[in-house]
Amino acid sequence: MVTIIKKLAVIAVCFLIIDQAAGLFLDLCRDQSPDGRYYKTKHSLETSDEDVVIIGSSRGEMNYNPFVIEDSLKVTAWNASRGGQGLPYFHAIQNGILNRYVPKIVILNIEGSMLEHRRFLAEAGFLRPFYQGHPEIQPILNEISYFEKFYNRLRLFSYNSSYYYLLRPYLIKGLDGRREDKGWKPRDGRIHEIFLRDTTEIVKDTEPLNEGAVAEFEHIAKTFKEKGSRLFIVVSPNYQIYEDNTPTINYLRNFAKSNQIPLLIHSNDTTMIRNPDFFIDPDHLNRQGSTYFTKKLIGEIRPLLTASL
Amino acid sequence: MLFNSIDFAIFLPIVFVLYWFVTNRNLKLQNAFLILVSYIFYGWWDWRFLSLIAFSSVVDFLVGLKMSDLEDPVKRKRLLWVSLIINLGFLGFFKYFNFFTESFAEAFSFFGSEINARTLNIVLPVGISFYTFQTLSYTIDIYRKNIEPTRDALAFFAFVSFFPQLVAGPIERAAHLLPQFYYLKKFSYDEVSYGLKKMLWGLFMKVAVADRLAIYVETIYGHSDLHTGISFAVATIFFAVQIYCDFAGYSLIAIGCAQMFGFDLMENFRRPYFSATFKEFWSRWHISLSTWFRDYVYIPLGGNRVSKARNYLNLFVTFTISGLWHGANWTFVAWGALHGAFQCVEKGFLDGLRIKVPHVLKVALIFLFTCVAWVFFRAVNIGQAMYILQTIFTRPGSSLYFGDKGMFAFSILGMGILFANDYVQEYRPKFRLLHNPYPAVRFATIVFLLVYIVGLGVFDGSQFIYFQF
Repeated sequence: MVTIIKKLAVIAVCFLIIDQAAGLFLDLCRDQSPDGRYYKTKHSLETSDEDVVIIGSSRGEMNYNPFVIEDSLKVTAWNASRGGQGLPYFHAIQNGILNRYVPKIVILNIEGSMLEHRRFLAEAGFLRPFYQGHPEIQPILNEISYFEKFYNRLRLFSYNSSYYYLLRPYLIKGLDGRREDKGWKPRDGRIHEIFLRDTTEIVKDTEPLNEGAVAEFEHIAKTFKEKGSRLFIVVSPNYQIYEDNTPTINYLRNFAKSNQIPLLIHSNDTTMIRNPDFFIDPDHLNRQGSTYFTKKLIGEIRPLLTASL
Repeated sequence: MLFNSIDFAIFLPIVFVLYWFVTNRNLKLQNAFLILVSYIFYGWWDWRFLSLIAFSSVVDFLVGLKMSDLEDPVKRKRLLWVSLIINLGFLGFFKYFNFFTESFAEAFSFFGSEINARTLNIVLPVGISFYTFQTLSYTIDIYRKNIEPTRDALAFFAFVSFFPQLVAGPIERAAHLLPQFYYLKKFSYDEVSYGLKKMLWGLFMKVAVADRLAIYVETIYGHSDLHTGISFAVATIFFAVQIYCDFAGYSLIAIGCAQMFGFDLMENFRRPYFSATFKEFWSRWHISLSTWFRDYVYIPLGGNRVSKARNYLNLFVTFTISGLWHGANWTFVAWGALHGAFQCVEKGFLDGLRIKVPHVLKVALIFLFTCVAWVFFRAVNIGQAMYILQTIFTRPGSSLYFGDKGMFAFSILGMGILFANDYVQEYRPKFRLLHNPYPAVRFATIVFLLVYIVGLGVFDGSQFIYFQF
C-alpha cells in the first residue's frame, strides 16, 4: 500500500509541474494573441475603454458594425459579443468592463426567444482561461459546478480544448476576427440558396420564461442603468422569421417600459427579414446587412440620446 | 453515480481505504461492506430502485436454494419460471411496456382500426438489463445443474450488486464471479496497479475520445435535414468509434475498479474493429452479452446442431432479440436483425468461397458493414436511418461539415491515439506503453494520459450510452 501511495504521489507531483509549466506557456499565448477570440475577450475584460460597447452572442458579433456607430455618433465603439454564448457570458463581460470603467452607451442584443431557454451557462466555460486573473467573473463560472473553483486550479483544465483557437492566430491571422474590426465579425457573401424561402414564418412561441434567464437579464440591464450607462436593448432580424409576439419580446416590452429602457425590436422589420441580400445565413447578417441594420439602429438611437440630454 | 463524475472520484478512494484497512480481516464484513457501498453507488442515482435489486436478489437466492433441494424436474422448472417471470417481468414492465403498447396501437391503426395506446410515465432503472441477466444466469445455471447454489446470502447479494459492474456490466456468470466472494481478499500491489492503469485508459476512452466524438455526431444526427452524405458518413464512422470507446471505456473502468478490490471480471471488448469476420466481431464486441445470448438463447434454440435453415433462423432470432435488449425501439431491433443477417450471409455464402481476400480488406469491409448497422443504432427512428443511408449512398455531396474545427481536430487526434494503442495491442504487444517492461515508459504514458484527459477531455458529466440499456 505504501508503494502505491508513493508512486501515485510522484505521478501527481509530475503532473502538477507539467500542468503549471503548460499554464505559463498558455497564459503567454493568450496574452500575446495577435487576434481572434482570446485577444477579443482579453480586450473586453482588461483593456477596453470605448464609449459604446455591444454585447450579444453571434448575432451581436456579426450584426453590429462599430464603424457605423463611431462615424455616426462620433464616439469609439467595441463589439464585445461572442458566438455561441448567452446571458452568463454577457454578465461576465459586464463585470469585467464595469470593474474598470462605465461605458457611455451599451447595446445589448437579445434574441427573440432568449429568455425562454436555458441560460447557456456551460458555454460560459469559454472564459475559464481568464478565471484565475479575474475574480469578478468567478462567481458566474462557479455556477457551472460546485467544483469549478477547484478544477480551475489546474491550468490545463482552464485551457481545456482551447488550444486550436488559442494557437491558430499565430499561424493564420484574421480567421477568427481581425483586430482592426473592433470586435465585429463581418461576413461577405449571400445566404445559401437552400435557405431561400418566399414565405415568412411568424413565430408564436408559448414556452414559459426561464426564471434564471430572466433574473440574469434583469440584473445585467439594471446594473448598466444604475452605473450610468445608456442601455439600449435590441432584438435584431432573422431571415424570414417574424418575431414580435414571443414570451421574451412581450416580457422585454413590459420590462423596458417599467424601467424606462429603450427597446428596439427589429425582428419584425419586414424590409430586412425578407431581403436575402442582407443575410449570410438565416440567423446572421452579412457585411452589407450589418451596415444597413446598424445605420438604421443609430437612426433610432440618436434622437433618444438627444432627447435625454 | 457515474465513473466519470467527481462524486465517484471521492467515493472510490474512501471505499478503497475502508475496504483494505477496516474490513480486511473478516470475509463477512468485507462482503457486507461491498453490499453497502454498492447500494450507495446505485442509490446515488435513485434510491427507490434499490428495492428492485434487493427483491431480485432475494427471489433468486431463495429459488436457487429451493431448486437444489428438489430433484423433480417439473418442480425445478416451476421454480425456474418463478425467477424468469419476476426478473423478466420487471425488465418488461420498466423497459418495454410503453414500446409494446405503442407498437400494438400502431399495428392496429395500420390495419384501419384505431385504438388508444395508454402509455405510462415510467423511469427506466439504470442497469436493469445488466443485473437482470446476471441474476437470471445464476438461476438457469442451477436449473441446468451447471453450478451449485450458494448458501451464503452475503456473498450472493454482493455478487448481484457488486458496484463496479452493476449498471453496465460486464455481465458476469455466477460460476466465475460468485466464488470470488467466498474468500478474504489480500491486498496486492500488482492488482491495484493494473486496475488503476485499466481505469486510466478507460477514462481516456470515455472522456477524451467518446465524449469528444459525441459532439460532432450529435451535431450531424441531430440536424439530419441539413447535412450531406459525406458528413453523415463521417459522423457514422465517428459514432462507431464513440460507442466502442464509451462502452469499452466503461467496461475497462469497471474491470480495473474491481481489480483494485481483488476481483477478476471477464474481458468485455477485445479490439472489435480489427475483426475480419462478423463471427470474430461478436467474439470481440460486448463479449459478456454475446456469450450470454449464445448460452441462454442460441443454444437452447438448437444452436448449430439443427438443419442449416433452422440454424440460420436461430442466428437471426438471437441477434434480433439481442437488438431489442439494447433498447425499446425498432431501430435497435433493426440493428440486431442486420447483424443476424450479416452472420447468416457470412455463414451461408462467404465461408465456402475460396477467394483470397487480403486481411486488411476484410477488416475494412467488416468495419464498413458494422457502420451501416450503427446508423440504425444511432438514428432516432427507422425513417431517419433510411434517410441517412440513402443520403450517404445517393447524395454524398461535395462538402464536409466540420462544425467546430478545433473539436474536429481533437476528435481525429483522440482516434489516432486510440487506433495506435489498439494496433500495438493487437499486432505488436511488446511495444505496449501502459504495460511496458520499462518503468520510465509506463510512467511517461501515465502522465501523458493524465495531461491529455485534463487538457482535452470533455467534462460535461455525460452518461455512458449503455446506461440506458
